[in-house]
Amino acid sequence: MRNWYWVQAGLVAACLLTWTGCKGEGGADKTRPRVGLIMKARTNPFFSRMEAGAREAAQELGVELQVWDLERETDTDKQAAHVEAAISQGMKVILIAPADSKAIVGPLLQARKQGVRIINIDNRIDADEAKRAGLEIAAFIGPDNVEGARKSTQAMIEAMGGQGQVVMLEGIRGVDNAEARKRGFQKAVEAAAGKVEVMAMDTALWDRDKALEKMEGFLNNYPNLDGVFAANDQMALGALAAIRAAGKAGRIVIAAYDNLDEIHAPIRAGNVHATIEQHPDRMGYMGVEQAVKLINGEEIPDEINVDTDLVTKETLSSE
Amino acid sequence: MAQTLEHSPSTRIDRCPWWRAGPRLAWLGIVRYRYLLIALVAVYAAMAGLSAVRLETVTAHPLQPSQWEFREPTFILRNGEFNTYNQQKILEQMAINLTLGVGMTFVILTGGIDLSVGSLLALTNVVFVQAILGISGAEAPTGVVILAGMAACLATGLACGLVNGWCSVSLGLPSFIVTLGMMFIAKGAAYLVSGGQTHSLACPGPLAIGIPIAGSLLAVVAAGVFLATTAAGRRVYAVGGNLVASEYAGVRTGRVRLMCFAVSGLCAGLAGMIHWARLSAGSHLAGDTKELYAIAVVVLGGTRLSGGEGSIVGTLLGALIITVLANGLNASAIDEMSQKIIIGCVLIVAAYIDSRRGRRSGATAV
Repeated sequence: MRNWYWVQAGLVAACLLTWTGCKGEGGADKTRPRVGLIMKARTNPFFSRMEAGAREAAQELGVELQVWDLERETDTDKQAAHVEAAISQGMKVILIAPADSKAIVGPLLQARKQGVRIINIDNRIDADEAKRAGLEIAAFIGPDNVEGARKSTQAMIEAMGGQGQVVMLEGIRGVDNAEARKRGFQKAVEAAAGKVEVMAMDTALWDRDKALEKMEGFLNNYPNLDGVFAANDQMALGALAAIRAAGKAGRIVIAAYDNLDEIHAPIRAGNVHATIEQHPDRMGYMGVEQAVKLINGEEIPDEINVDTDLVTKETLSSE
Repeated sequence: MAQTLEHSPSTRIDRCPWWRAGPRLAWLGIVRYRYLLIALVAVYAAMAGLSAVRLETVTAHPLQPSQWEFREPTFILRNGEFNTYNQQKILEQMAINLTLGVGMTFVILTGGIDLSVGSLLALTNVVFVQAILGISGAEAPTGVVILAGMAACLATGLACGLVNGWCSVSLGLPSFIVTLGMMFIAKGAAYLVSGGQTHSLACPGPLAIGIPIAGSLLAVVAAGVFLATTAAGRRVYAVGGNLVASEYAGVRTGRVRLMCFAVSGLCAGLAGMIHWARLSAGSHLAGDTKELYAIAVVVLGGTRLSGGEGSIVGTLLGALIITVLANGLNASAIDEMSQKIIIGCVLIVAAYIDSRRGRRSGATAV
């Protein structure tokens, strides 16, 4: 019995070793440029659309594309391992959507030292930190978060009749796009010239359950709320659950951000007023496109803003 | 219990001075862990083989690759030469799981569990960075300041470990509950200390490689020698094997258990430093769910969750297997969810193979 196990294990190991040995002679495909896309969770439709866009561009432009994703969007340690895998794989350009805009600088610096070019997409790498570490980033491709959040908040204020009490559910504090969306919200509130009162702003960590809890607290503290701006759709859906439970669905105006498929039903039903489409597929596509230009030695612009669009009941029905 | 100790080869190590224990331990380790060693070689070979196949997904769904071809196995080769870069990265990527696993081995050997290590990693990580930023401000920290930061970091880990130990020994609470509480406390404390922000602190070049690799291997050697060759190390096994019997035999079981939790906290402090060395940053989100990886590494290494049996060698092999697997799957850009499934399957299969050894030859502790 015991010997049989040894024989089995030995055979398996031998097969694998031979297989590995044989395949070593194949050699890498050196004709096509190699580009790595390191992003957050594929389970988030935003990133699966980004991947689809990047794959489309890779197909058209003849690029060898490899894609890495995270399970939890805060897993900086794992993302560092992905950067290392991309270096080890001999990628010429890394397209990165950082999980943490500061903690990614160290690993990327390693890549840069190995001659890998870096294009930052979606969520901006901390500029001060990159400068201090001497990290050279070839380009940033992303949405204008401030403008997007301003549009969404403005739509909310208009739906409220231009006045009233509002709260905001923020993303993870310190993360660039969360801070930018907060600025966009504040900008729209200031533009309302004192008619809109901000009762509270708190983080719900981009999370639906957390947003449900926070919103329950807000509804308890401020019974006369007129509007909520949630920095992403997930939190908007959490807030909607709380508002529904309080019997106020449709009476409190919800504005959101991201344009997930899931938010379309509540928008059509009139429970959520507006959201923002960021075109992640365009970001992925442009990322690969710019990477190819970089490999061919062409100049590329430092910053490319992808337009954001407001999505409401009207735009959904006209589609 | 008594019988186990008498018949186990490790009791012979007891009478062997530590400087001569090395070769004997190594040999006994190879015999004891032959199945895990085979598993390690098999996983390594499989990962090398996998990296020789290039799957190209054209459809959006990762499980439906539409093109594939053979190429250089990038896991072991790079432009025709041995890929030393990747091998070094395996050691660096292993460091956190291994260090936490070493501490966890102590606690599990006494029959306890420490769920707080992931959060303690976050806490010590932010304490380290905040302490250094607090002393040196915007200037680049000097060597002395970094040493002070290390002291603060390790002291925080040690203190939290001692609190874990004191609560479960003196208050008589189950370690599961105590460390679950500590998990939340450390998470919240890390948030407060860091203000919810990621703070950057550049890690000087040599330390970036030195701390993860040297730090974790030092912890392994120190813990391994301690557990296998010293009387205090034997007491850890005795307490885990049979708490009441070792109490009657004159072992101060409370102290032993307290020490084990302290070691686990200290290791979490070291892991917090390793996290900084890898990412040049301190974040309250660091180390999330790492406690589960630490437990996986220890259990994969053949340490019994009920205590009294297992070793650091096993933990080292367990950490190697999990890291080689994760690194290899990354090298082939396998998507994260499939990676989770594969790692889970390997964990269960390896635990099964290792459990057969226990049934046949009786419990031993090397």
